[in-house]
Amino acid sequence: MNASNGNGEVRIGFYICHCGTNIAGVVDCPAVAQYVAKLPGVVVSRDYKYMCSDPGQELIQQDIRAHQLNRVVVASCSPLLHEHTFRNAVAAGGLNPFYFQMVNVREHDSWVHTDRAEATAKAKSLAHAAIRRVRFHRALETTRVPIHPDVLVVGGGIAGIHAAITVANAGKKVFLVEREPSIGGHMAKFDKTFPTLDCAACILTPKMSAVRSHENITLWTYSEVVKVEGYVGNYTVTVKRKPRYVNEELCVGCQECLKACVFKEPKFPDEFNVGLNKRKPIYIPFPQAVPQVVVIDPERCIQVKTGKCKQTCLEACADRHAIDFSQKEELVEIKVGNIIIATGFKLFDAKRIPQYGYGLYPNVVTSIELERLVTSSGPTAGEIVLRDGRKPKSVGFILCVGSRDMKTNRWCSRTCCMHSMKLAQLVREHTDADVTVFYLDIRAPGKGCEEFYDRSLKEGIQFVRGRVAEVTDWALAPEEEGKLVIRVEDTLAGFVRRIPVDMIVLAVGMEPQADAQDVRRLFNMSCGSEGWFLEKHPKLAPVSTFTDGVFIAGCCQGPKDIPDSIAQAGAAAAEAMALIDKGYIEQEPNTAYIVEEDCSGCKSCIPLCPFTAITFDEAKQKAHINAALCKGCGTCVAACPSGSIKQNLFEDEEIFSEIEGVLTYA
Amino acid sequence: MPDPNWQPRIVAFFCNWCTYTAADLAGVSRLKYAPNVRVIRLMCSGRLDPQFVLEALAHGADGVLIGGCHLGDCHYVEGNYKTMRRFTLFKRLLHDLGIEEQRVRVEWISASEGEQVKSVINDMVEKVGSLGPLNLPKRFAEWDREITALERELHKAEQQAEAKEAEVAHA
Amino acid sequence: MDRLLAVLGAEVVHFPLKTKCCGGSLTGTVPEAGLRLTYILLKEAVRRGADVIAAICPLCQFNLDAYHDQINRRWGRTRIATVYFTQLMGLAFGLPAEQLGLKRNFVPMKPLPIEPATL
Repeated sequence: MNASNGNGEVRIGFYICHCGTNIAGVVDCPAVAQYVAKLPGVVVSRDYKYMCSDPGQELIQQDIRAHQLNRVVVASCSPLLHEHTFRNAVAAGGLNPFYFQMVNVREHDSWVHTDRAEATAKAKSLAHAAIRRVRFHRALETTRVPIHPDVLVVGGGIAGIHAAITVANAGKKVFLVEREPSIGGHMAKFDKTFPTLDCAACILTPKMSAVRSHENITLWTYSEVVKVEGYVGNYTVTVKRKPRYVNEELCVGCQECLKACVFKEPKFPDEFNVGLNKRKPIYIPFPQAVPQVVVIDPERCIQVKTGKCKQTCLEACADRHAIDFSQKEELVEIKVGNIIIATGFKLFDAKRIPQYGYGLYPNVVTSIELERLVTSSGPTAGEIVLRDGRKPKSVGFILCVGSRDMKTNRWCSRTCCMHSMKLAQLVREHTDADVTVFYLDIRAPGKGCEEFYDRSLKEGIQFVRGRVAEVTDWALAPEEEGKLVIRVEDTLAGFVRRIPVDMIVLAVGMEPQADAQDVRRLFNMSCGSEGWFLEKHPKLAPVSTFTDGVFIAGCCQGPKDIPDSIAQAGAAAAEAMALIDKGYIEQEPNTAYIVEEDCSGCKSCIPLCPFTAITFDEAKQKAHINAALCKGCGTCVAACPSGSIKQNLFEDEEIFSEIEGVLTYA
Repeated sequence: MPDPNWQPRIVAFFCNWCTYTAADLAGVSRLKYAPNVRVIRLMCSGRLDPQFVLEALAHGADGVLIGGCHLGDCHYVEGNYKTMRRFTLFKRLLHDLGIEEQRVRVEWISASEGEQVKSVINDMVEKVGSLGPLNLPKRFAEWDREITALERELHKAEQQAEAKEAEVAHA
Repeated sequence: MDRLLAVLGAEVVHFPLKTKCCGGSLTGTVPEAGLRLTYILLKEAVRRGADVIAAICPLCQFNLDAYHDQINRRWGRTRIATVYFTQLMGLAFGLPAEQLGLKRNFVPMKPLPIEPATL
């Protein structure tokens, strides 16, 4: 192919896309094509309805052959969307794909401006810039980076578990790191799941078992990732393994040590039962914990804190010697090619809305607290009771606590309507109490969910539409004495009501984890404005991030229910496996390189590279760039005083020509 | 004579991962802003050689906008810190050159901040608009003409002086 | 305010009406409505066992303090003093009642055995 570089003629093909009416509705595409046709070097200049479609791409390929084009410029949408598509089209036409330049006249022009004349003038000058720039493009080859086949999954909730099992089933080695002493996440705390009312433990525990027994999964609980280095295909991750003071290999979970503990009565709030009952400093998180190994709380255990305990637990484990107070925190380094983040969510702290009385009135509980009460293996053996042990005769559910709220969290937490209706049905089943649900809108979008809402209505659950203003114990009538009064405007009835109930359940919303910002920096990800991890594209790439090789799945990406979390986990696993099975990833060849003759050995560039790609060759007294490590940021290029460092695809001449082009107005 | 139709021309350099993506988001969200800005895409704001800014101004830009990731969030870890350092010094150079500080602006905009792109661009167009055209090419051309005229006069004066000398010598 | 006064040694009574309107300027313009609101607050405070009401807003303090006669005539006997929380802070610091202006209320505050807070 006749490709030239100042040596010989540059023959440019220019295409401007209408994108239906997305671009053509504001930008006069034929006028832009006509303007560009007159620019030096342009051999072909066309406008077409859908450049990214098959016929559009074929048009480019035909023109390359028919007109011996050696440069192609397409003005259409954002290069972040279709640069890859058009590069492939150019390559299919027989021309090196890096002789291509794209102009953004949609996201940056037709979609953001309204004046036709201005938008067209802008399109012309942006096109002119690209025409000038593409002249300086050279043929480049993508580099291939090999992908390490192992995968790291961070987070052992349902999403992390599913992702780990999927990848492991494909024959790849998986490290599953979870910071709590057991996997299972929030789902392990649920009694039944909507809309099928499947028992959560019954569907979760087989998956947890599968993780434990899978030969390809290395399960590290009570561990956290503390350092991540490297890049896609070649990550070096440091995992901190916190000491349980119990040897995982030796403990069989018989729990004799729990009985023997010097604390005769449990004294500390049990995290799994969200503080509804107590545990000892030595404990198993919940009966179906995986691994089925006891853990010792270093903040509460007398031996760990002071060294002065009778250590009756050690005696109880005399035959297996599983307890080991000499354990220390361990840092382990692993090499993986891909990382899947499934760190989940936390619940909104209902104390932030003091009007609802959480923490003030004992019979105001959160949805997760009620979930634990309802569970047969929970602190009350499935009895739904008030704090004083009585059965409630009336229960009110307040929805959207910390969701859809300008003062706290703006978003909808997506699952609480269904979750509350499920709890409401369970309350009716267990207690026969009057149940009223106070809602803003009922959102029941999934399969079987609208039918679940119907069923809730048939079960006699009352629904009152209105945002609850206040929960108070100020009784104004005899029937309100001793009860909690919900004050709400019943918007469908059109007046303010006072409804006395025995128990109030707050449907608290989902929030990003407290340390989401720290975690995302660790993995070089971004967060959206709401704090959830940012996906590469909200529609087309919901589980990828801007960092190649790092994927997200489940609620850490945004509130969602169990089926959607599993779907995303499977998607992330598939994306990871696509990279692993291919064996390599093609890196964009925008690396920096040094023109040795011009390098004076001043060493200004050496400390600038965060990827340590630049080294100094003492023998030659010149700097050297390792192209495999270079990520293409261009910082050293800008810093070099002699201009001897250059960057492929972002050469100085290319950018200067863009600047000139952009300031040349039609 | 000030041109009533004059509109500021601003060249923007946006980093691929944050600001360019945010500008795309502004487009996807159909936010509307002033059409005076032309975006040039770089992989990182650290690629920005101060010469690019000078080149843009010399070719007729009235303002230059530089967009990068928030400090601490650079896709390449530290590129934006280098940008920040360079432009702290560069502002002094601009000052010495007599170019108003508001014409060159560095903004940290993250990928989800489409609204910021809109408000920064509108704000900058307004501020640069009130400063008036910089129009360096016109000034360069004027200075060129002045210098050329001076040179011609100087040359003429030299010639006259030589002629006079020659006269005197012959006399 | 709850936490501040509790730290200074007061027993802060649970009072769900603490953010309810005192009647505001209605006591001057539509007295029937305004005084009724004031009465509700006074009655509930007494029923909850409070010795004194702490207020922050001058209008609240005035309404709750000055209209006992009218309120008692209309709706029944109730009596409780309302002072500024800063006056209570002064008492906790050991300042004399005169200096704190506690003699200026319509409804005098019961002399309480107050120990100066040891800060």
